[in-house]
Amino acid sequence: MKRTRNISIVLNSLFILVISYVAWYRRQKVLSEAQEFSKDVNAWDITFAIQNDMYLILFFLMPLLLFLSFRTIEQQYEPTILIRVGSFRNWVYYSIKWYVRAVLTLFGFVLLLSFLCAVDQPFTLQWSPYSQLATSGNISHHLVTTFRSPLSVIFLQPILWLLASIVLHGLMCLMFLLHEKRNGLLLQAAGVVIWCIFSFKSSFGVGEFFSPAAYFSVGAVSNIMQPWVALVILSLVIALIYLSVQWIQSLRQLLTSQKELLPYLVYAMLASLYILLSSSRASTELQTIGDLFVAVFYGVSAEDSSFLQLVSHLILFFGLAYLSQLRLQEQMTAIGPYTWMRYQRLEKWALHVFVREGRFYLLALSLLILGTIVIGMLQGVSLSLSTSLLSISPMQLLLQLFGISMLQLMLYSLFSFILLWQFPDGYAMLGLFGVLSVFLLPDFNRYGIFPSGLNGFAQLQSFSLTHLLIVLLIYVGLSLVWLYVLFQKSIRI
Amino acid sequence: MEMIKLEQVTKGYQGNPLFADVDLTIQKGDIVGITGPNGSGKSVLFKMICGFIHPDAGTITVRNEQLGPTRRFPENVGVIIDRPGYIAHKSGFENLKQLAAIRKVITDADIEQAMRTVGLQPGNRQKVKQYSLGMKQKLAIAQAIMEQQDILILDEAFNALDHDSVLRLRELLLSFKKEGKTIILTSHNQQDIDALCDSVYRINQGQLEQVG
Amino acid sequence: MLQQIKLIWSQAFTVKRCVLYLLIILGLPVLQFSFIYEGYQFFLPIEVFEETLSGTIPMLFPVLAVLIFLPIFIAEYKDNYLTYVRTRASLKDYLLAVGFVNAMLTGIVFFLMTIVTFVLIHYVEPIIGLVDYWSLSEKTYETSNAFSFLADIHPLLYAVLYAAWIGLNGAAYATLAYLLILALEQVYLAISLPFVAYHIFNFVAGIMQAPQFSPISTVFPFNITEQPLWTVFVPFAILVVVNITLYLTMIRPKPEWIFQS
Repeated sequence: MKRTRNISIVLNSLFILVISYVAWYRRQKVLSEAQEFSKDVNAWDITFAIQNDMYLILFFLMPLLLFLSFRTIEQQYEPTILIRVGSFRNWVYYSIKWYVRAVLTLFGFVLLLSFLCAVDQPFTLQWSPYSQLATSGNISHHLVTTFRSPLSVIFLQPILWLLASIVLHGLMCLMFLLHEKRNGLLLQAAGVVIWCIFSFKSSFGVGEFFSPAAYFSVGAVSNIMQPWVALVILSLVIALIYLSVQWIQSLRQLLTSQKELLPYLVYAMLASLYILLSSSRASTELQTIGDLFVAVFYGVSAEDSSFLQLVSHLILFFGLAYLSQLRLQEQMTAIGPYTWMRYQRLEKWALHVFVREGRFYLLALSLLILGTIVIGMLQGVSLSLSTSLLSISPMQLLLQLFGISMLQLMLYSLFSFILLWQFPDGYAMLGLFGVLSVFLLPDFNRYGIFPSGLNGFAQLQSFSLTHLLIVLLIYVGLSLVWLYVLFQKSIRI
Repeated sequence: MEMIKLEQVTKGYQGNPLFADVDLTIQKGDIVGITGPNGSGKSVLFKMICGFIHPDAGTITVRNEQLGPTRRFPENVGVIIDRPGYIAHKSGFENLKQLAAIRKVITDADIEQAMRTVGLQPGNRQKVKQYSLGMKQKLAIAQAIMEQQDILILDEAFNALDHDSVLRLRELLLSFKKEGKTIILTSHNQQDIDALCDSVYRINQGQLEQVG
Repeated sequence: MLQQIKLIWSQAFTVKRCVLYLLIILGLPVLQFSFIYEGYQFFLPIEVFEETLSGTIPMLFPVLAVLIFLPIFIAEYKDNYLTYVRTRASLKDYLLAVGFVNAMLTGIVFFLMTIVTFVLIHYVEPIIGLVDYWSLSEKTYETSNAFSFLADIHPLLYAVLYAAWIGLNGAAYATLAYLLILALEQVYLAISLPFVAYHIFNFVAGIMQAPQFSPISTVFPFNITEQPLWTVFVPFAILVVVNITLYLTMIRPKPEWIFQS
């Protein structure tokens, strides 16, 4: 008990010390800059500079908030408390209540100090002349473009703190309930801190949208969206947390009993992130859904390749083929022999396997396409399939997007199937991905004769649809013959 | 009635001859034991009868149908091979149901009955990856018998079973014999062979010698 | 323990495996060299070296890392060899010895691949004269990377330290796969996850417009503009942390090793 109190005293002192130093430092910075450019400042310039100091938020407040969240959860996830609150849902509410109480004291101090540091300057209702100064560190200048009066900022800031704290701790609680491990909780907290710093330090503009740190600063929020949108987003996330805690028990059961779903979830997350970011990044050039399809599923070719397109194609399509591989591995090496006996013919069994994989690809491709259409509609692009990015007709676009993609994906599975049949250890299958990914590199598939990544729209810059179709059909044909020959031989079991 | 017939079967593995011109006939309702030292080819023999491996020469006939291009695997044969494998993240029942769904000749109740027969609880939600070796073996036996197969090819079916389960399996196999099922099995335990088999063959220098 | 390491080490040197090591050390760089030695504009041998280590090798890096030693261990693992080890020696020591040999051998093969490629391109190739070098006075752009400052001190220092860096990363990926085999007990998932994770992180870094933190650009920093040296340690540090976490949370707490294939 005494130890905890001592830690608490040390932490509080450290907190006061750091905040006071940063407040003083920011105040001096604003004053010296104002003096340099001979501009008058008012109290708000200093207050907002302290409240919106991203270095303070990222490197001090966020770790502190997450530490508090960690400690709150660790202390309150006790059987004695759980029994009294009665359910996980009530426990989350209970924990959030405690957390918000603790962090509001913290933010209260930041607010107080930011006022105290500016107490010798006039608290006017208008923006100061200094706020017109366009320097990189002048937070008032960023705010003046969004807010008519400084008063709206000072009203908005505590609301943001409150909502963002609820979201942060609510999500921490939800995540924790999925695994209930102390080390996992620590990893969660560390992950959020790293994520915040990473999205701030990298030139990742859209990343700020997903960075929790941004929502603790009116300045950072107004940089990326209208402030009222931020309030709506935070409220929506709180509603989502409210809904999720109702289902936390079932969600936990699903995740613990269906761990094999994890790769699919990871894939869905990565694919959604990619579609969302790549479409929003290129939004100015995109007029139609057709343009969006070309941008999202562009892929690479021997002549047209970029790092992002290469890895995106690997994730989107090799990712699907990998998921299919995991299932094939299970079906062929584990339960295989007992299955073959029941099918009576290996060809019949193989057909069954490929129909199932085909259905999976069909569903996955449809979802990818549907997801892109929804994002396109949200961005307000027209629903036309014509595109100005490539000289292809809507029909050709659809054929490449669906037909060639299906054929290419089925071919990946066919290759995996054959290799797994011949070399059940799985090395060959891994090697297959290695070799196929090499053929995605610039110059390696100059004549479009290697069946790797032929479903990207980039390929249409060099080859006709017929060329791609013929190449893939030849490989499918050869693979089927190869498979037939293998089926006639003894099985390696 | 001849259920399984091997004629002049020859098989080698990586240059080592395992079987040379082997003949074997197994009649309906017989329990036949195959013994032999490690690496003598017991599993290879079973895999050839199942159609997994082709003989280099000779013919294998099951129920008067010769295995070959037109008949790869014999029909309605229950098999346990040396390394039982399952879908690890599914329960025992789910694994069996997936297999039963292929031929669709039995109901869920039949699967449950087969599980109970070998000493497994059908309602057990435990995943196969959490099964002990003995439980996995029982599951292998359950899949081999659940569709009322009339020929059973059991490679080391007694492996990893506890004493009670061994006795129960012996009783089960004897009851199958009474029903007229044909069984061919291997076991490292001579007691199993003695207790069950009508005739016993030993693999010796590429030949099958009748020893009992 | 030392005895076990020696024993495991000796298993890794069959004729087949030596051919594989040679293919990785010489075959892949030669293959990549054959693609690039014409048609590119080179001013210095070091640029040829960097281009030779681009493309194929970065793409296959985690696949190669799991192919060097782990097949030997997996064969043992699948044949329940570990069950028999347990009755004869400390399984903990044995697994540690396997982990050590796996990391060392993978590291050494990658180290040799890099250093041999460098020596051949920097010292031997100019004698043969396959590459047509342009005059340095015509060079209008920079080709330096995070490690280039070492080359300014001495080319061999650059080669040795960079080869060590490649070796270290290779060892870390091989160790990740090894730990995953022990933790997940699903061999294919375990050997494929390092490759999958490698490209997932490349992808995440790509969409975040931060390629300087992608695994591919930190192990082979030739396709991006020069970055501060610390950036290359970010994915490596994550990899090391993941390895340590895997060991501490999923492997060490197991009271008794019950391995089944």
